[in-house]
Amino acid sequence: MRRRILFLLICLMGAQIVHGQGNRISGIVTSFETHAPVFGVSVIVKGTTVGTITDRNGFYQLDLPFPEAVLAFTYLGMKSTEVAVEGNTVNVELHPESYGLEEVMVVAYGKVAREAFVGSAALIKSGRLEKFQTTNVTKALQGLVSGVMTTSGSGQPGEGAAIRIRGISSFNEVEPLIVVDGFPYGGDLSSLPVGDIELVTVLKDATATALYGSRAAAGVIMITTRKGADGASKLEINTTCGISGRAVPSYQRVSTAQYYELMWEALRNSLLAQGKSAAEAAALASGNLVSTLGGYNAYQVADNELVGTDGKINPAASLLWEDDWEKEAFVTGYRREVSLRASGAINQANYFASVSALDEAGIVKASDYKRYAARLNLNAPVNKWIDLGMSLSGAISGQNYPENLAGSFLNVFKFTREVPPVFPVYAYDGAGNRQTGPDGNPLFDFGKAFGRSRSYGSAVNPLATAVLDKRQYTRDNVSARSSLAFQLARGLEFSVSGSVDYLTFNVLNHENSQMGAAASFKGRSTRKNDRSLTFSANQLLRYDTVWGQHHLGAMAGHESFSLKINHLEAIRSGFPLPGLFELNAAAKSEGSGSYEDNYRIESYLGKVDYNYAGKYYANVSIRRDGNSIFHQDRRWADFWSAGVAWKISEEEFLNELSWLNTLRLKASYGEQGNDKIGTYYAYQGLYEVGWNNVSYPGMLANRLPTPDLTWESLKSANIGAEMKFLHRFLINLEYYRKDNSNLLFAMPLSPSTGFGSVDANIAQLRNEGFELDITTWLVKTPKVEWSVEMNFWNLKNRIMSLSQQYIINGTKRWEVGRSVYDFWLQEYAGVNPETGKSRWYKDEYKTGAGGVPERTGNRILTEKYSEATRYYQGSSLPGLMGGVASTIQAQGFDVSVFVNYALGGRVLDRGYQTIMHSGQIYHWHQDILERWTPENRETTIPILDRDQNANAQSSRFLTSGDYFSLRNVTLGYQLPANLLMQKKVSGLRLFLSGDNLLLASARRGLDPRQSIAGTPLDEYPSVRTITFGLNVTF
Amino acid sequence: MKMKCLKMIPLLLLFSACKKDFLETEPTRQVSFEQVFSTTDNIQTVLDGVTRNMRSYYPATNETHDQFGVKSVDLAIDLMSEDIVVEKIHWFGYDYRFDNRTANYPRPQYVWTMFYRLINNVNNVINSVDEAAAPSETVRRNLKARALTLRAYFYFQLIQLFQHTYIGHENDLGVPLYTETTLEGKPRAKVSEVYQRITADLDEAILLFDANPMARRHISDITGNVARGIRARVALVMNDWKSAATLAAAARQGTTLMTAEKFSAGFDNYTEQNWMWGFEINDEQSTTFGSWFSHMDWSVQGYCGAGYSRKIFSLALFNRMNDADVRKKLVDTSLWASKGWLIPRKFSAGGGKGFSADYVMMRPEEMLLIEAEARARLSEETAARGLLKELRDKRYDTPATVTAAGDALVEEILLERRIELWGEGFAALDLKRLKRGIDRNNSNHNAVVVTAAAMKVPAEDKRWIYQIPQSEIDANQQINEEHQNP
Repeated sequence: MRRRILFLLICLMGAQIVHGQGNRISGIVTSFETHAPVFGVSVIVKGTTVGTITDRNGFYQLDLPFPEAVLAFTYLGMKSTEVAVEGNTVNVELHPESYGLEEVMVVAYGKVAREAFVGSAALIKSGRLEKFQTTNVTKALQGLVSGVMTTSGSGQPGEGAAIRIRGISSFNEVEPLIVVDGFPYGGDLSSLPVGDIELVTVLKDATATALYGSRAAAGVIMITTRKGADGASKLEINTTCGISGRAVPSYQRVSTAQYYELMWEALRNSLLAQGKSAAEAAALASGNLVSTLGGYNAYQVADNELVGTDGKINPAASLLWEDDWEKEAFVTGYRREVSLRASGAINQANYFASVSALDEAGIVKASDYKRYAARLNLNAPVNKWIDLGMSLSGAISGQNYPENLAGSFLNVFKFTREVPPVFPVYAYDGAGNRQTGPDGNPLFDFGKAFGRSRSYGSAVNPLATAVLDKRQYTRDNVSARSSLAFQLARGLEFSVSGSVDYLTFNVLNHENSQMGAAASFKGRSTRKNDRSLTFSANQLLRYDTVWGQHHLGAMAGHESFSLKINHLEAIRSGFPLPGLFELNAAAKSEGSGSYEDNYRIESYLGKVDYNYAGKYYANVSIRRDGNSIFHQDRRWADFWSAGVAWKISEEEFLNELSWLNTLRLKASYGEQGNDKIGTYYAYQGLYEVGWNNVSYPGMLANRLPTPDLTWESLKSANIGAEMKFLHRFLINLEYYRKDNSNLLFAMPLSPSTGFGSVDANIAQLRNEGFELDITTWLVKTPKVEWSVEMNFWNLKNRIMSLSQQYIINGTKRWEVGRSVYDFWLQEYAGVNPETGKSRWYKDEYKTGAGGVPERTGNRILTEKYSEATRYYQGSSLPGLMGGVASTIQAQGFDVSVFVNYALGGRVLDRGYQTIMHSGQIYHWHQDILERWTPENRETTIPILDRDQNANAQSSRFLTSGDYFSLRNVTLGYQLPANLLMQKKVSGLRLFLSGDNLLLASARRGLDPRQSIAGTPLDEYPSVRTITFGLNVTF
Repeated sequence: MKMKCLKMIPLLLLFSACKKDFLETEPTRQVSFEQVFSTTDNIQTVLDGVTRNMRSYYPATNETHDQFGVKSVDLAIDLMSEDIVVEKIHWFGYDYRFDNRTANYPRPQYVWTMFYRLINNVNNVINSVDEAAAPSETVRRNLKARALTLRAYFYFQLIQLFQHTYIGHENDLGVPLYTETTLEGKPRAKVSEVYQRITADLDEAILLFDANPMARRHISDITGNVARGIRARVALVMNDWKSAATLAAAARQGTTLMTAEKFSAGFDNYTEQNWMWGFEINDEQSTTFGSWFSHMDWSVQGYCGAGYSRKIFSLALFNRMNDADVRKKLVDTSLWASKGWLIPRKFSAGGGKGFSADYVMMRPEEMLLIEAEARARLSEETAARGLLKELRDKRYDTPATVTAAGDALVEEILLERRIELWGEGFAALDLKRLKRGIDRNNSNHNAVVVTAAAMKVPAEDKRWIYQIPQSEIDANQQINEEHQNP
């Protein structure tokens, strides 16, 4: 996979013709790898300013100012080559740059040589991406790139991950701007097959992102799709087939028998607390146990004899049922993908074409994703001075997505984790006979039958309704990118480009008419349709020139962007027959509506790149954006950046260090913005329509006018050093500091004003951190290659100013000097060893002057949760994050291992919290066996006495968020060429790949990767996939 | 050279800048303030929006199934009495326990934000209607009168919930008063100032209605009679018996009392019953599970009908009812022996309206009872007895006789209120104005569900009033902990 895509565009090292006297010399430059001619190679007579550029046929011709000259050939992505002139013809083969160093970077509005790039960006190439069997490219990024924090994302097939580049830059949870082939992407990222992607560039600092202006503050992820390579046409068929299961097992919980005994104990203790005698309490607990659990007696024994007054389950009792909810809910998923990719060149045009089909089934029922995608990328010269680029892609996908709302009883992950084991999945009569319906299938238990009343999730059984309900999402994507480039004169190019992304997102949400919540009104269906059309166009003028040791590139342009969203929805209920779910069948309208939103940006942009003698580099970028979201007086703003780099290793004083290959220092500073502030109309005072009173139209005040509202702005600085030495090691170290100001927040108002909040630019935030990337090529021989890539990084987040003293946001408190990720919780003080009751700390008060209570500064213990004081309890942000990838290739085999980790953050384990109650109707974690009893006083787990506050949210449930994850192992084998039918099959590779193989965290069942804020709950668990793949090249 | 010039032609594309209005976008789900308040026709839509919001969720505040407008407040109030028994703790369970009242609890938060949101909307109407284009002065002034009446109603509900009654608390802290849109929180006004605002608004509204009569468009529209009815309620609380009697009598002018047959029709359809003010609900605008009938009606499959939280008639009150009373017959005793249920059949939408049943806000019987009580207290006992008999004759199988006098007469009228207006949002507010407590013993209240603390709640106990929501104290510079209710 070390094929370089050679691509004709601007060469920064463009040369100027100087007419001189001497010998005329000519030749052809070709690629060593493809033997194709290379267009745009800079050819310079060393020590002079005489030079030229190869034409489309790789041909060059120039007049030597003197004989015995040396020609220097340079081209992005290829090793620079110097050749002494002999005779009149000098033909050269250029080798690709070795050791994986990206010599060409795709950056905002163009490409740049790595050594000329003064900003901060990370590249992830297709070879790395393809190791992960992932549907959405965002899920591959975790741990790969320093400074990029991602969640593991939902395990639901077809879902992506949340991404934060260099910290949080807005209270509005803004995702980075996604740019696909040069334009902000308006499609659905899951619809873009990872196999179509050549390169992902993560733009991190001001220099890298400035040209995206008002949308760049959260960083930019640029995706470049594949292009055809010159000369070598080929067809690849990739087929993969895998099975999947839960990557993270469930919490360890108690058995049915243990559950009854524990619940008996909780009942007994609560009765003791009410003043009953020990004998009375034990007898009452035995008598009331089954009725407390809604009449569910899973044993063949009289209800009052299930657990004796000794608290032990009746040894004579035999189990009538013990349904395992998780076993019934979770299934083996699969993932299959077939793709065909053809690429190559015809005459001077090159193409890349792909079609692919993906079928992925999740690890619970009614959870899947199917996608069909096709793409054609074409680049062709129209004539000698006009080039055409065209890219067309389309994808349709369908997704079944079970309820994933935290707290909903229809959420199968929550339900199966929490439901006590005494409640069966299926309906059983009193004798323990599983009931079957007329069709012979077992009937589900909805907690009602046989005089019982399930007190967890009453009348709900998500396993029954998941297959009858429908939660279907379909998406249709069409994307087009086109460009025309005109070579107006040497070094002067004008291009006109446009893009269209069309996405329809259609939702069907059907609650079935037979069982569950909607049965009483015969089912309900909601249909929603969102059509979004993103259109962009730009006109760019570029100029590149060289004089002496000076290299100058300049670009100026204009761009417009518009997004139109049309939403349509309708709800109806009352279905006549089971199985019907479309709106036409339903009797009763429960509402319908539609609306349109528009969002537009007009921009002017420009940049200048300069370098002197390949030692000193500078870049200045500027963008002026007009944005429809804001009031016309606030609408236009300027965003800019400036950066410099110094390639010290080019200086003579370092020339003698033969071990040092490259040493570069760089620094940048600039200003970007964020306009994602949760509305497209940020200034008007608005009344909301639709508050109709029967058939009279009605409106209600909805938004206060905010004419002064403006974008969130970001000032960011970056410094870095990059060193390559011994041809084996590449080290990149960077420090960044990002100051976000004007952060938009719904500033709380007195609710008595009629509004709970008003949008205002009120806060300042700082993110800073170090990033260290190390790449080594430990072994590099023709037969064996072994490379290891590592990254280590940290992030500190601090609130610098706020409009009020503090804002409590869920489990966090925001205050100047604190991080937005600092937990603010009651502090657990263990149990009272005498009584076993939970205790918390509270501030001690004394009566101060004038009878006003004041703090003494001491903390005292309280057993009343409502009195407990909240304190800062550490941060969910890890202190150190990173990943390690190791790749070995030998004898046709390749082995790659990728791990990632985070150390030092904290997680509020709310899933664990719910199953550590003191006798409510939830399952119990096995840790409850260590609860306080008169015999076991040395514990932090309180007595079981049905106290609702015993497991109330506090620091007790804060758990280390450290994790180590074996994200991917891939083992591949490339069949030797001599075994292949040479001309018919040119390559065949087999591989076995495992994703999400292992997670080590502080507690079995806890996946800290699910939430950046450290508060995961009821999430679709991560999926482990084992995949076999076959790749055939023709 | 020529060739080079021609090559520059594509550059013309560079000047394809956007049209001037490219960046001007308008929402389609919202309308600007200016547009809304330009004409009285548009202003009418604000009053309709207010009316709708008085009987619906407000999605922006994550409302739950016990927060569906003013009737959800009425239900919460009614449950703070002896007259409704709650079988299990579910939605409204903590209201029943008098334990949904402190600063961080949802009920005060909801009541506060809902009424102040509605007040803001009607303030905008009151302040802009004079400038708006109107087809006639009559329309303009009639609209203003409606908005003033609504504002008075909102403040009246707020002051009754966030403070004890008027009498004896005139100088206590009431609620902040807003008459225009502002971002600055205001201090708690004195109770007397709040009542001044309420009576001034209602008096102005009544004058405007009388001078600018318009045909009523819909049952949800405020009329002069409704304004008088609310004014009569206010007078009753202020112990202004004379005004109460006069206004209540005037308010029910032109209305007739419901017959026993109509009273038994389910209270679910405004077209069938002689209501003075009510809300019409249709299928699309129903709040279904979070609706009055879901929580109160045994005949639809809501929280009450499906057994999550049954509302049962009080045994103590049942025993005080006359056997000839249709209202007693509407209490279904068929499952009393087996299940312990006294099933109220007053609210019964199962016959057809279902979750789309209409809500009653005011009816002539209440006006009659206000007048009767006021006259009894004014020692106009003959008139009071006559009024009570007039009502009972519509409810009893046999002609009623009323003989009580003095305090006993007042007590009979108050008992009649509990029976006639059962479940309509008056029970606890009556207890508050009468400065009475409750005793849930010796009835069918379950002490485990109620909790021991709420079996007996003394008069003017702090639990009769809500605390100011914490969000108000946090954001309002002028209301601090020291201004908080106990």
